[in-house]
Amino acid sequence: MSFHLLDLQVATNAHADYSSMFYWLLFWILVFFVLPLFFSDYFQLWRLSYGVGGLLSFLSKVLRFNFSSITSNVEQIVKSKTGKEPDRSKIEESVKNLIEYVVIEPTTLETQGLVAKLKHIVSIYNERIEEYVKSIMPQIERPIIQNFVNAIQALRELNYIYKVINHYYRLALKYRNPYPLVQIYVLMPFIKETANALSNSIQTFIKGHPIGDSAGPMVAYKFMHEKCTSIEEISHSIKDTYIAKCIYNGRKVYVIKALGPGGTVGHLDDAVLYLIEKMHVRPRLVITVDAALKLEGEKTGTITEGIGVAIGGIGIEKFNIESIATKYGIPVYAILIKMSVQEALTSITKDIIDATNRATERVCQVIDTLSREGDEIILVGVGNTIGVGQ
Amino acid sequence: MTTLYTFVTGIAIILLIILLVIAYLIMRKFISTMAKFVEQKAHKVLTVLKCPVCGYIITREYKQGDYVGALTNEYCPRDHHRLIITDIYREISVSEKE
Repeated sequence: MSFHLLDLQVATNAHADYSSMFYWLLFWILVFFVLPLFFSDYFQLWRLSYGVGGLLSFLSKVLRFNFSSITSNVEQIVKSKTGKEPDRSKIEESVKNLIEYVVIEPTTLETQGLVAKLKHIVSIYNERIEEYVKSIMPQIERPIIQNFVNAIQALRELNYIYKVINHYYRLALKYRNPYPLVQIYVLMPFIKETANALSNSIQTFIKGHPIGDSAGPMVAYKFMHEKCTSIEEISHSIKDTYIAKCIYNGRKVYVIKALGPGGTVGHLDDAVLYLIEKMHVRPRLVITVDAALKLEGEKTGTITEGIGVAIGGIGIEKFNIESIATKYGIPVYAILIKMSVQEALTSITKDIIDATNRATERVCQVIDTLSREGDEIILVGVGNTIGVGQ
Repeated sequence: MTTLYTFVTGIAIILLIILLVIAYLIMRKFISTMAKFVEQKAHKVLTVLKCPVCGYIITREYKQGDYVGALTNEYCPRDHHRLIITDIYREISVSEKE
């Protein structure tokens, strides 16, 4: 009897063991699989909001630093040039208005003449923003005004990045939805790199140093002064653009670049149009030299040649030069100088200077190979000409 | 058996806590890196001046108002012609190059 009882007790204990093991397993399944299933969005939201909040705090510091840097530099320059103490609050108010300035793109419902409309709007924007900066910096030379226009445009870009990220951050928190934050989280390192590049570019524009993007105008300058003879400036009415004619190895070369040393990209398409349609130049070749963004792993200063029009931006000038080249059947040739975003927007480095020397030699090789004596060539130095004269 | 459960549960909880702490530390490091803003170090910017006649080259520190193509008020020590600015560039540190 006692033997049977013992058997029963062992069986009951075993049953109790299996039962508790089942609850134990159930508990851990709940902890590891079911809870994350229901609360993963909340965990993600919490984790991502911390990350994106950190990025927002960084962008806000960058904005504040550059805003005060621009306003204090404007104040200092105005004071040194006019001898009067400028109204700081008025300067701050004006810079605030400028960074909130809106440019509304033309409608794309009807695409006929879209590029012309876009060009018109961009021209008006550039004129207004320059007039606005001139009003807060009276009696100051135009190159300095142009450099501050560039600095304010970079600050406007930074402000826009901050506002867009802040918008999605708040929306995600408002609707408890982590997915807008996921997209920002993925792009965070790239956004930070762009913000750093823009921040550094503001400091460079204020000082008036040539930037990496000035490589194109620098090649045009070097070609004209180191390789050509009989340089002759061509008079015209195109704003912020320089055109010159020079002789290289028996070829007539028309060199086009933005008018320096103030920060501007000029109206290069209008200059090409002027030469071909008004001055009846029939070029054997149009060569564009520009700075291009390198891919990770590519070396800064690498020179690449190709076919086509090398002009960045929103594409207005590229479209116009392509149109005129197609109309007259002119071959278009491009020479690119590779660099990173950071290098393109900050003070030019020795590597890029060396690359401009190599690119100038490459321009000579292209002209020698693809044209004959007596031919006409158009050479366009594309980019911001800050710190580069003519 | 109960001792085994307690032991395994204890190990699981300790692992969970360690994982949470590691995740928190990684996240905190990432956030502090993201939020960190370091003002751009003032780089040394140099100006290269060249004599248009004899080709004599001199490099000095950048002065406000310098630009490529500017005819300066500095003279060539060889033939006393006015020097022209041919290049302006910034020196980059080894860490930046890397």
